Amino acid sequence: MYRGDPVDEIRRSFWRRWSALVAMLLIAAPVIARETIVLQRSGTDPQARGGDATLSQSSPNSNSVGNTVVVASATGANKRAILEFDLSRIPNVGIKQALLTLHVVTPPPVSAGTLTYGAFNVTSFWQPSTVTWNSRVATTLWGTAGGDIAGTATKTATVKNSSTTVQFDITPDVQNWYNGNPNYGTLVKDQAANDQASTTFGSKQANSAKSPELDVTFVQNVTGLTATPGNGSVTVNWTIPGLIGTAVPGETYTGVVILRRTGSPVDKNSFPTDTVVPALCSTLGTGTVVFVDATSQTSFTDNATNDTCASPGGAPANGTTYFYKVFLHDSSNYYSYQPIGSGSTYTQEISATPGATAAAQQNTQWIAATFATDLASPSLIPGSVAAMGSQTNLLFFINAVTGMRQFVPISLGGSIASRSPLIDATSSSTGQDIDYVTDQDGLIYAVNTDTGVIDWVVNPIGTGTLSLQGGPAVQLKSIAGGTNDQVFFGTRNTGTTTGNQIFGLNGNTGANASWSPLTGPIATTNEGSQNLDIINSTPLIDYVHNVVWITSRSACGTTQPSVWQVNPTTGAVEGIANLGDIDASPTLTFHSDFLFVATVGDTGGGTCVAGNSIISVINAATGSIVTSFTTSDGPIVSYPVVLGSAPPYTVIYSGATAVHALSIDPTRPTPAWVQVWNTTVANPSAPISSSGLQYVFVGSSDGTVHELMLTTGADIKDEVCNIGATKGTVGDPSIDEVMSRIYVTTTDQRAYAFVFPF
Amino acid sequence: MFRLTRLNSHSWKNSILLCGVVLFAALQFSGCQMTSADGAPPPAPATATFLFCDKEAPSCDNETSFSTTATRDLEVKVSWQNVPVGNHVQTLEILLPGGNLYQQTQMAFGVEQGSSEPLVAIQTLPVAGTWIQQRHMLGEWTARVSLDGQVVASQTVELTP
Repeated sequence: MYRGDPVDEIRRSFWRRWSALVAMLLIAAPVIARETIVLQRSGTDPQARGGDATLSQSSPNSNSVGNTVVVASATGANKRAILEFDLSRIPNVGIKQALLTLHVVTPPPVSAGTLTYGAFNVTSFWQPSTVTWNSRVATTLWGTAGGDIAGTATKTATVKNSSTTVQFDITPDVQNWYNGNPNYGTLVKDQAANDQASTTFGSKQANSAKSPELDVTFVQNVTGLTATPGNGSVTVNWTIPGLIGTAVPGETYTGVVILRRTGSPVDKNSFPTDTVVPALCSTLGTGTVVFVDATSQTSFTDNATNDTCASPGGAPANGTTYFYKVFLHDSSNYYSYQPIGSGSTYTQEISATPGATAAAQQNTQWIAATFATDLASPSLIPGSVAAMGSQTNLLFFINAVTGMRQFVPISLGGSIASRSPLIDATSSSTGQDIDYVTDQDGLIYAVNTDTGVIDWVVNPIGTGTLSLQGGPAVQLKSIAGGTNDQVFFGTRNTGTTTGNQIFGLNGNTGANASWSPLTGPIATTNEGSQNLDIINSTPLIDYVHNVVWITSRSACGTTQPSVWQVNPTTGAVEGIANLGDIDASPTLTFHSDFLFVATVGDTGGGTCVAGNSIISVINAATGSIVTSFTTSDGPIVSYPVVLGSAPPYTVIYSGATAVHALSIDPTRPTPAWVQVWNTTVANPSAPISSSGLQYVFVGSSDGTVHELMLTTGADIKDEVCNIGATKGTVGDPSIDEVMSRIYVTTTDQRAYAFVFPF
Repeated sequence: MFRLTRLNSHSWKNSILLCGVVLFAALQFSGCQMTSADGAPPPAPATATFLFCDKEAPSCDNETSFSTTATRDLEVKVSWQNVPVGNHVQTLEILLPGGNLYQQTQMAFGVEQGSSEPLVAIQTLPVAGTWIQQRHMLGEWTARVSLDGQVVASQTVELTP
């Protein structure tokens, strides 16, 4: 029998014990917290969404991007440095400090003495590649030449001949960017009107230690937040994240504080104060402190045993929905939120409704802040990303699995009021996962959804701005052929009922198609010249007939067209229909043989008078109207949903007070509409379902998402978004069939995810 | 009258405190007026007034109620008075009935020395074909305006079918 050397055995034993000790220490060691990160272009941080430029008053229409940015003060020849950082590396954090450092390349002369520079928050969207003293993007001018900025400097700093750096504490601005205000970066200018001196700094393009840097101190949010309902209990679970920056010495993530509220999410003004431990059961704004921990717990069961707080705390009651906001904190009690006066809108939250039976229980998969109202159906790459806009000019990309931000929201020029199509890289001619977005600043964008980089942005009308309400439609090269994807949309110029425009752009570059734009009055193939009123809807691509279907208003009457059939290659208008005002996109049947379209239902010519919608069926091959149905529940909401792979088709639509199902076989010589069911839902959203699915989902002003049986309309179960004090109207749902989830946005400034069937 | 003198840090803080106490006490007497260091009355604070208009209507008559069927765009006009010289940022929040935030926009503008032109910021709120019309968001809306982060004024407006 082999027997090892005793000394060797002792060594091995010592090594095992040492290894075990190290492993134990590693496991037991709390995660270091309140981290700092340096955002500066480097080999490991491309700062892809960042950029900078010099605005030069003496060359007011020239874009100046290079290896330096310049700040100068001279009458008629001022220069300002404008810069923006890519914050993608820290998407889910509470900001505690942000220091902007500019590195001096050429200092001011000794004779200039000490100069005072101010760092100002920029208040309008701009693009580094096009920005000038006069214009901020493409042909869109600044409100004030030289840059739209805050009234006072966020911070000032001095520079002189011996300076190597200039540093500004821009913490309030960065906190606001994480709190719902658009991030348009920072402008640095000389506070003196005419000191005849300049300083040159390194730029992002320099790609060196001289590039601008932003040193950010932050506390991360918890990850993996879930709430599992039980009978008289809710169990909240979370994960304490690992480091993404460098730890502030001596600080460790030690636990969480959980606030609870009944019926509605804990509001933005309710949070613990940094460095202070709140008392258990105390009230912070609208939240009750139901859990305080400093031992790195990752679970809390809210029940009669663990929650002995008096009302509004206490054991969860079955049938009541509870919202939990979870603040991660470190050993110095810095919490995951932005400590600013207007409230902190972004900290991880979740909700659940306990019940006596599993059928009575419900919970959200995730809740994500959107900062303002959005009711458009979130767009998806199923199982991967949910995208939604907001009316604070922000575009969100949310991880569909976790509900965490993919990166900090992208700041666009104006409100986003429609669904933006997401195209995955395998289908897109750009070779990227890409999102096309229109906004009320009159711009259209192509955004890379993996990086958040704006690939291109175009002001389609050239000069001036026009609100864009409807979203863009994308004709894919991978299906239709051609050289690239094409993007179609229309204008909403309410100053005219005749002269609106239809655009077709190259999806890779934003360049106009050869025929684009079509401007009303538009010459048609067979119907002469036709007026074009405002377009509120997203066009529909008909691959079978190589047509783009576009709907518009028609001056509140039927004397001009509201359905337009446009050849995407030539721009020829091959057909029209005078159906009356239309705000909704059309819908095609499974085989694209019939087009369903619904009018607003108003009449009156000059001043519109509300009425009932008419749903029309159009033969997609001939353009002829096959049949129509006059509804009796006011204007329909958004669009009709057409289900079935063969006739008779089921048509689901929402009116003012109910969701309705019809059946129609348009192939019959005399098609007959059959009303299948009507289900009352308070102020319903557009419904959604899909062929093969047994359910119809619809949002409501009662703060819930309703699940209806497709066959009978029976309202089986409702999932709660927000039914409390800040109850929100729920928008159009999206279905993620990969994850069996429903996503909605609401007027309570959040997006919610639920598993279906409910 | 205040007089600026060079103070060490400690006495500077005490002086500020003393000034604050004196100022607070002075404000308790209605007959007293605040004055600036040179004795002139301080500038009046910035104020704002609202005007809501149907953008397509030939005239704007200070209406307080609008039909969402008949109105394509609502214009929110903010008239500013007493805005100090310099750059400023107006933040306009449009709040739904019930108080949730519908839309927030920012606008930068500058006031030049000696300018006497009326200052009116116009923001368009699309109505026709928007969620406002489709989801019957009717009732009393609120427009709230801030200047450089400080709320200055708010005004309600009624949206009807």
